[in-house]
Amino acid sequence: MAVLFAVSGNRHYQFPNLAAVMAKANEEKSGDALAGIAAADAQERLAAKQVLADVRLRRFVDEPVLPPEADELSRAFLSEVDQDLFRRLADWSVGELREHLLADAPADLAALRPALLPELAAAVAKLMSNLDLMLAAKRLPVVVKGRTTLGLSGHLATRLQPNHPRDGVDGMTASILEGLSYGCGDAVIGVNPVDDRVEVVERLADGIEQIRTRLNVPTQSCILAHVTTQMEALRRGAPLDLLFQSVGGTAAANRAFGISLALLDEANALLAERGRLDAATRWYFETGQGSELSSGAHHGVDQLTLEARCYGVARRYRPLLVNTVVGFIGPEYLYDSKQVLRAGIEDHFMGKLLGVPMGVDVCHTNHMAADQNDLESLAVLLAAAGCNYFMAVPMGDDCMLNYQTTSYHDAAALRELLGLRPAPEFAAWLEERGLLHDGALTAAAGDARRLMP
Amino acid sequence: MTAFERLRRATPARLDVGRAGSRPRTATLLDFRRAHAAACDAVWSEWPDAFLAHLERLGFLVVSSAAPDRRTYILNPPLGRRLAPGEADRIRTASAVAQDTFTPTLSQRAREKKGAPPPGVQLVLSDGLSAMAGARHCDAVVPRLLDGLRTLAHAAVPVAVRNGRVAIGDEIARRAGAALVVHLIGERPGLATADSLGCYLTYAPGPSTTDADRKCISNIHAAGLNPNEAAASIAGVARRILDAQTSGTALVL
Repeated sequence: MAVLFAVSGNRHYQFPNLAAVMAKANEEKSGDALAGIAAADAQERLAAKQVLADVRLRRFVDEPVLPPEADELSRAFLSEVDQDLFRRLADWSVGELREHLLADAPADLAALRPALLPELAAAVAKLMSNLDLMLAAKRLPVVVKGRTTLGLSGHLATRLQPNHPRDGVDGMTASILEGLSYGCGDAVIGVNPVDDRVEVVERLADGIEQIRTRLNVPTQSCILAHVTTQMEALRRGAPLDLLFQSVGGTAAANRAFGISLALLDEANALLAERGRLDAATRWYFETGQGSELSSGAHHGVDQLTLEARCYGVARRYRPLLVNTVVGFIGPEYLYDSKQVLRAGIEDHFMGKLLGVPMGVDVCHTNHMAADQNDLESLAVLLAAAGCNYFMAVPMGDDCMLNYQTTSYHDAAALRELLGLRPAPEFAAWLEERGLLHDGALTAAAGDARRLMP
Repeated sequence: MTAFERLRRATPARLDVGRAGSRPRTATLLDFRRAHAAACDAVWSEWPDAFLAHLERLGFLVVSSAAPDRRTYILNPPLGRRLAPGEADRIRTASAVAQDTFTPTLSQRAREKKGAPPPGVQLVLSDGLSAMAGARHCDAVVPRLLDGLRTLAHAAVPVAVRNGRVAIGDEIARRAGAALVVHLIGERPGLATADSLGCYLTYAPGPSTTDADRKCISNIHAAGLNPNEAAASIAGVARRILDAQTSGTALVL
């Protein structure tokens, strides 16, 4: 295994292996520094980027960043690469891949997805500027269809997130009705339960189902409990449209989440047998840079590369929804607004390149050096880059998870600012209800009383 | 009350706030920003000198974690779980002096009669992610809690930690030779409250202790568990733990 070198000015740099180059080529992230694998300074970071730009894509197959002997995800990813297709790009350098992504016809690029290892998405992201990442993502839309069609150009959807600190159905219902009245909920109505028991999942699912059927809302429902709890609820006949699970980028991180590929395969088989949504895409996954390090499961690999591997897991199951929860894990992984902003557009790009229908939970916690202004700025960048969906929470203040994300008002304002519309089926429903006219909210919008029985 | 009002009152979510075009009303926006400002200030706040002097008057030994400042503390959680160099010796010395003047309580004598070792209990107060929480609720919680703990076991010299995280209590208890650590620590501020205190109780703490080995009483603040009543709740849990000789998942409270 060859050592990698770079010469920059009168300084010489040496990297022992590909994993070290990948880690040091990252834009600055507190999580990589905490793991002790970040570049020592800005010049070493650039030297690593220079080395990476000349690495041939085949090297990522020949010299896996995380060896297949050590990790079941690596085994799955390597076995799933379309070898015939990969031979066509194996001799490209990572630098050349960047230029192809920015210049080639989008249809040709989309056709390359089955040849792309997740690590390649991370590698090329490390060479790209923020605007590169936005433009390349915009050129690679991922359109999926449940009861609504998501990811179409010119549209922006939202996950209505009506969380309640005691899993109360009345409080959840109030949040759902008001969210719908602001035009939110076209990606999914998805609630995080406090209490991970089957009867709670059933109660919340029934609560959403009652609203969805009474008002005939074209959307999906999801209860974000552990996947095993949802499986049991599904077996007992609960009205669940999607299965949800948080995923990590290593087998060890997934063990900390209480899952494995075998368990996801089993859940997928159950969904095929018992799922009620008439669509090919019936999964929802959440990810976020730093989760592997937080569970001591990063194997010395940088957090951007591990995040790309999360999308590698997600795409095996043809999801309807995937989002990074970009500012949630804490300032020890993404310290401030600059790091969160970068991570948000990196994650969105990597997901789209790998064929995953990416949304983003644009968010922050109160111990991070970021505020609502930073969050709004990132949401504008992502909406411009074609992000499939954002979260929608009353005033952006999640009263159960205790963090801040995008609000009902933010969703409406982003659509107004950038001329984006809700998912077509959902927009038609809003028009029918008198809440939307010619793509703009009507005077009646924002008042949940209009949606009461 | 309308049917919607009834639903709305069932949740603390910021609902029914109206709009100015697609944006929030001015008062709503400023109210939200005010809550966030309080939370941010709480995260970066430190105990003032007057409070440190007050802690010493209450009998606390004040020590520092290995995180030298707030920024390092936020960026490097492992440092907040370890004592700064030299602090372990100060804790050992303080505990040894206190042992000399220690008179066993009745329950302690009863335990010794049964052949059990004296179960020392260590109270720790850390700033955590909200120094304001400890400073604000100290007087309501700490004196009552110390009284309560002293009826259960020998109480080691209480220790206050600057830039501390939950697990630092484990090392402090080991240095003091205590079987149970009762750790009050400022919780990560939410928008609803910036001065919430949590309490982690850990029996036989050691290097391999995980969060599953702890019991936690959270949300100690004016709108949550009343700080004036918190000491009794915590002492009650401490009693259960000492009786069961575990604070792990085997003990269901």
